Amino acid sequence: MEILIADDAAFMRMRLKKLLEEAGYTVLEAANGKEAIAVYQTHHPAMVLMDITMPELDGVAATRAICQSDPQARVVMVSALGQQAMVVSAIQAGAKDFIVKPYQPERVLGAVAKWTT
Amino acid sequence: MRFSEISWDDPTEQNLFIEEATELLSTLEEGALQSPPPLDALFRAAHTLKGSGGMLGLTEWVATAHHLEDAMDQVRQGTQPFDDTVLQLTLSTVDLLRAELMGTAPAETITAEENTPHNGSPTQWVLTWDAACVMPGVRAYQAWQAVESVAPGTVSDPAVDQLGTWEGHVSRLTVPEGTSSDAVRQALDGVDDLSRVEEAKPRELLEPSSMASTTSAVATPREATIRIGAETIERILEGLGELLLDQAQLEHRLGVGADPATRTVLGHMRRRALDLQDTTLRARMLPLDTLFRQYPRAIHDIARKLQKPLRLETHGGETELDRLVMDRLHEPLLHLLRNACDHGIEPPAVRRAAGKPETGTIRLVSYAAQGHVHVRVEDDGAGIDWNRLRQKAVAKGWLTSEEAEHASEATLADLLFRPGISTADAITDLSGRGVGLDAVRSFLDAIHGTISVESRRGQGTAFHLELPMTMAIMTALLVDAGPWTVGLPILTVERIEEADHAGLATVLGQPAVPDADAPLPVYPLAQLLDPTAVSDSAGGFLVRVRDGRTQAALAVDQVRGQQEVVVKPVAPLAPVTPWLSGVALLGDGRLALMLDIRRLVPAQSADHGLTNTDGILRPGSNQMELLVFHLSDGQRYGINVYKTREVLPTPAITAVPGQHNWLLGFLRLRGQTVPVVNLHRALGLPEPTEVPLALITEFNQLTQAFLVDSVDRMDRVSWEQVEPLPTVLGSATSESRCLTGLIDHPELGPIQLIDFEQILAQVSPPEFPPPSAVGHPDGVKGQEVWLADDSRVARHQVEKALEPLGVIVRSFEDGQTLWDAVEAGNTLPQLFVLDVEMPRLDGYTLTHRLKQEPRTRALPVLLHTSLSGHWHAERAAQVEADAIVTKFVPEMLARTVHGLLLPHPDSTSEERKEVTVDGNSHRG
Repeated sequence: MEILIADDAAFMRMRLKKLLEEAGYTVLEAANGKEAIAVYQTHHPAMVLMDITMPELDGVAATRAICQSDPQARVVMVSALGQQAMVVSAIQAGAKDFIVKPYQPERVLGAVAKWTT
Repeated sequence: MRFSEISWDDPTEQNLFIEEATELLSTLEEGALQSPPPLDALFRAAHTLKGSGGMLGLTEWVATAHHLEDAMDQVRQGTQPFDDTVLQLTLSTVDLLRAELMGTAPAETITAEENTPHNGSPTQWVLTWDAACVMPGVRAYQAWQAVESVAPGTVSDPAVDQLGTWEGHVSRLTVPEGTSSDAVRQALDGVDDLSRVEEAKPRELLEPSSMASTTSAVATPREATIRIGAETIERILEGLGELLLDQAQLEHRLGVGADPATRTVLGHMRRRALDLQDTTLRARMLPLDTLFRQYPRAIHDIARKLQKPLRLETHGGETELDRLVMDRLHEPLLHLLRNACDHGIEPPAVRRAAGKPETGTIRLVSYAAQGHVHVRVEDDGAGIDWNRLRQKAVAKGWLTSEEAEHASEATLADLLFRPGISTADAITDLSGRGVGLDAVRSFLDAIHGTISVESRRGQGTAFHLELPMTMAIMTALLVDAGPWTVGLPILTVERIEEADHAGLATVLGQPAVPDADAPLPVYPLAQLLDPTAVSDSAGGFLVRVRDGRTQAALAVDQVRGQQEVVVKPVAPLAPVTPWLSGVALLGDGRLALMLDIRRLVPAQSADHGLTNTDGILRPGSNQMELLVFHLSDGQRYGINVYKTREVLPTPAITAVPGQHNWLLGFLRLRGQTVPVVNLHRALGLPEPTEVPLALITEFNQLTQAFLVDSVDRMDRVSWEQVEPLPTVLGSATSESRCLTGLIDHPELGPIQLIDFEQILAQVSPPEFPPPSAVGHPDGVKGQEVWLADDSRVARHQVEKALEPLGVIVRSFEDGQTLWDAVEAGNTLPQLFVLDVEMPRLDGYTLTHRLKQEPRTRALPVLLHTSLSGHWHAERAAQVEADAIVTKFVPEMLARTVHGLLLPHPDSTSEERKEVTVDGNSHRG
């Protein structure tokens, strides 16, 4: 099953990727919102883990674009503490859920399991 | 009758009822979670709630409260223990009655309903969110969204557009008639963190007159006084500030010519305004209890979830703190508490085995001291496993195994706050102490607070937070620097002294004054503020400042004294002047710039510190801090951070004809002319038309800029990781080889280290003095000097510089090769000349080894470094080097070598305590 990680921090992507791959998922990566939309259009992954603060196009705008083109899209926001207002806008834009950074592995896996079944 | 059905004649009466009931419910909730619970108080609270409800004819309310009162009475009489059943009964009663109180809807909900055409009456749903829920606003939004999808027209309270900033525990939904309860429950099923869902009866519309007051009274259950919005206070403070300014202008205009009566009125006006300012600021202070009182419930909920018996004790809740600070404290504090419950406190079985009480205790303590508010989160859990942390630090490459072994707990504790330790391994290995602590620390950084940790294996862990009491008012030391009046937070000021008596000296080109641990760099404040300003004097006074790990002495013209000032933030300017934390209005109508010391003092002293107490990058650790950047070929390159001064967007460059073709020209930086080197050309890479960043470097006692495409990050690497370039690559380009080594970084892949000194040597070759300038070769001729330097060019230069002395120079291409020769060899030289930065084994570490080894201990060591900066004297002394010479002044090098090789008649080298720094003696 393919999962797209959109985060401008290579380190975060690496961490998440390792975690998800160990759990048996296939991981796609995007380093900003624009890339995330492009990768989503070509691969239609089962779910997207979307960072909020990204260059080019932020996570909320990217979520909006993805969910408009595919209302079935499953986007889960990865947010820092204190970004509640952004998360609400993302959910408004079509995101399904959120995980708070710094995340605990079991939360991520729990959220992924919840939204890919 | 239900609470929502009451028609109130008098809004004051309604407010009073709500306030009192809210207070009593808090008493019940907090009391029930205390150990032992204050039974009489609990009983009285239940009784009073019942009584007041009865007055209003609230039948369900009375029945509920009566049930609790009965239970409390039995416990009080001793016929029943205060067990978990009673506790749960108390808490659920509190929830129920709170929800009932909340049943009074805010006006906008009603309006929204009226505007939505629906038949029949809508149903009310009360949603109670988990006390430990991180973003309740998001959850409430998701709940609304889920219900709205099955029941269009559903209205949320708080309103949907308010949820982005909402931080409550109870929200409500008004669902239009015609939706089954099951459908609503089913819709809410998928929403996380929802601890209770309750369907309320149809509600009648309230009298509009009573609604406005109800809304605000219910919003935050606290205080029995009037409530003013924080914004209103802000406006009052702003107004007062302006009033003071007007007053000052008036005083200034009238000047000394004013008659005594006018002056008296002006003086009175000023004192009144200042008093008001003070009073208003104090009005913004709240007792920490406001924050603390929500945690017992959160801990209780977490404990149930984790199935661990836990107890929370709070102390010092009366300590007052600025609301603005408190607002930002909630999340980090909750984070720490959750960590303590989850990872700090052991499972009951483990505690029993360790002879501890099964119930874990978490203490939340606060007190005010030294102008700060201190908050401690303590647990009596397993404590931090320092040995696991040591292993972790070594595995991460933060410390060498030798360092880790000797690292103090303070040093190790500091590692907990680094990003990167917040991983799954940390949870199991370190009992989770690392989870998100870097996030907590950055929260505290933002409000100028600090956090530290104390831990005892088997006994528990304490996190200690130090917070500023208020964010808007501070005591400042006002000083004049150039044309400016500047305010320094008084807490950062350590000492003021006259510059003439401070013992000002120059260490390696940097003005410095002696301090306890190491020379303290001195900066003219006016020049830090405006780099283009030309400093005409060293300033009349020196102010020693320290903020966190940043330390410096600032030279100022005049000290005006200390004053309480109200700081106004200046956010829009922040990117231009990051060191400006705000401006303060002064009595004479002038503005004082308020400084953030940490952002003002140049980074070298801020990050690397002058002391070795942080233990992280000591000389002898064989490590360096590497700045990684990209060039046009997309590959990664690295430079030692100690060689860099700053990175800035490429400024305008003035081209100068007739220069070396690697030189692009010059740029102006703080009044200094800095040559710009075309790094792409030097390395033979494609040259982009525009290179966005200028890397300002400082080494070989020169400042020069190199243009780079982008900067990646800073990373600590060990010299052991640095491999010298394979010979075939090295010799292929011989003299023009511009790389010294290669790091195969576990995350980033290959990083090439550029030989900046070699590039510089090409652009501006050093001048070799005539032999006569160096001194007589008498007494040193024929002596042997071992030289380690990884740069071929440098080796060649040193050999050439020492030629006039007639010494025999044996060269090694890095520290390790020289050390191998010491270990294997039968002969030893009379002197070692070591470069500092070398692959595999750096000069500091090698010096340390040579001074530990009995065979070489007595032999002098000269460190020959390209790194500029005042800390080298200190570093060299730490590893017991005998001299340090900054690259590359052939004459100075030759003279120092000469001095070291000459016999010392009155002392053996073992007793020598002085370090020669660029020819000057320094106490080591």
